[in-house]
Amino acid sequence: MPTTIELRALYENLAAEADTRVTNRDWAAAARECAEPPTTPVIRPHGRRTLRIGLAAATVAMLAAGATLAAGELHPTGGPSGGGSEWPVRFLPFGAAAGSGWTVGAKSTGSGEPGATFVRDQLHVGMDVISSQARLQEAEATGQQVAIGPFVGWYIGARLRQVVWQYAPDHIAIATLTRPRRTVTGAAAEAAVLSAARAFDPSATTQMKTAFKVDAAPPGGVLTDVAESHQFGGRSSSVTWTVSEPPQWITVTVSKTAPTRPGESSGTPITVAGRPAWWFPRNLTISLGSGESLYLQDGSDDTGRSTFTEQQMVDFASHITLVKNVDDGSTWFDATALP
Amino acid sequence: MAMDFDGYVRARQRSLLRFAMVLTADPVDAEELLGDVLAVVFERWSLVAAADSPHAYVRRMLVNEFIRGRRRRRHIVLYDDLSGVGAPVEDTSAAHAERAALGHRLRSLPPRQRAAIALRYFEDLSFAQIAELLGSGENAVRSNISRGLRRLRIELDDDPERSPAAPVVFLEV
Repeated sequence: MPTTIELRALYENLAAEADTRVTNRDWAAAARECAEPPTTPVIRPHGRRTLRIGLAAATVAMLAAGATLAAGELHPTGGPSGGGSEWPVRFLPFGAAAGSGWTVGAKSTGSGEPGATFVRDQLHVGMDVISSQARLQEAEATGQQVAIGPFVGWYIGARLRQVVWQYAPDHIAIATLTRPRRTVTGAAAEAAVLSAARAFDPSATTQMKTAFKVDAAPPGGVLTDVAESHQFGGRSSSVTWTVSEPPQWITVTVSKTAPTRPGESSGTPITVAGRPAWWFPRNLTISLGSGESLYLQDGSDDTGRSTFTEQQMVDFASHITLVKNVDDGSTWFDATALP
Repeated sequence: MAMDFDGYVRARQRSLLRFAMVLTADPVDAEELLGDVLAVVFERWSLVAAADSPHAYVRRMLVNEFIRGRRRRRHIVLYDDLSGVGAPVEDTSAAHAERAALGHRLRSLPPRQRAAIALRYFEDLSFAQIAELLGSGENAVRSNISRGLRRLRIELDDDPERSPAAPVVFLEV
């Protein structure tokens, strides 16, 4: 079990990384470029009035927003209606409209809310679907009204660069410009976010893919999360099965090898299906060659106890079939095949 | 004489980026967070400069902006792209799995828990100071840190303020 010493070491590594990056940018000049022009009072519908008149008000708004998020959105909702239905795991419940120019990049489904990145040229817009009304109310209170197809949305400022709109009961979409944020600002940022938002197609679905397949779920596990992303400079695939009682989960991830950092210790070297591997309590790492690794992580949100033994993890890993080339997404398996 | 905005940024940018980095646990997120907040600081500089402690004010803005706007990457970035940190190594010595696991769990925490833990274990602030910075009560801070550490599966081995006799009060924030 890691200790606070390891936690502090992790923070020190992060801080050291910050030191190497801080001089890469003229922060004051960048702040001036990103700053908004002076704002004027904005009259909102429903008699609500938003005045941006100073730091105190802005700070209060930030605190209020933080409190709202903490109370309402920090945990999986269990489904869009809150009444037992759940978000799909094997596909995204939306897509990018054909002909819009936007494509769906990184994506995740499951016990959190569905999320994806819409990509067009160099633009990346994060697209999330949630059920909580809190975020919509926050946007309505502080944002500028915009039209997203037949729906009313709220665009929140040049800094957040985000539009929030409700497209169905308990279905709220959030589009946020995630990249590039330094060079795309102001009206260009708003245009990019609104373009992606208008390409959001809730009548479409997007098939989730995985870089591996397996015949059987871990003992007692139910598929709860699937994600496709990039990490360490390569494509990455991740799948989580959850055991409900006691609450545990096991996550399988394929990704490029991570850079090492000072102070790391080694696990116990073993062999899995003829490949070099390392075992840590609740964590199995298998080298796949070509810079990729397969990670199995066992965990619990609350208890910290392990459900799966080393042998169970090794047995499960031994039955995983990988695609021949992780970087070639066209060879990935449909998540519909996951147990 | 009051410091101007550029002077403040030059003097504090290293400290601020370090703080943003430990909050976000991600270089890109940290730079974006700091950039966004400094833009607000620039807009409000006359008010920020007039505060009793401008730096404390800016740090609070960083925390609040982090809590407000950083929840969306929970699943998409399971492990962040650290390709810029250093060259990948051939040896996958699962050492990195241990660190990656801790980093993964850290990034999966709710922002308020993450902020409280960073303030406690990187900034070494007291519970009272953290409560003031987060705009919440001390019990809530203790609860957030306790819950967060449990989710990180951190063993409390060097926290002088927590002993077996000191019960942790769990309150919803």
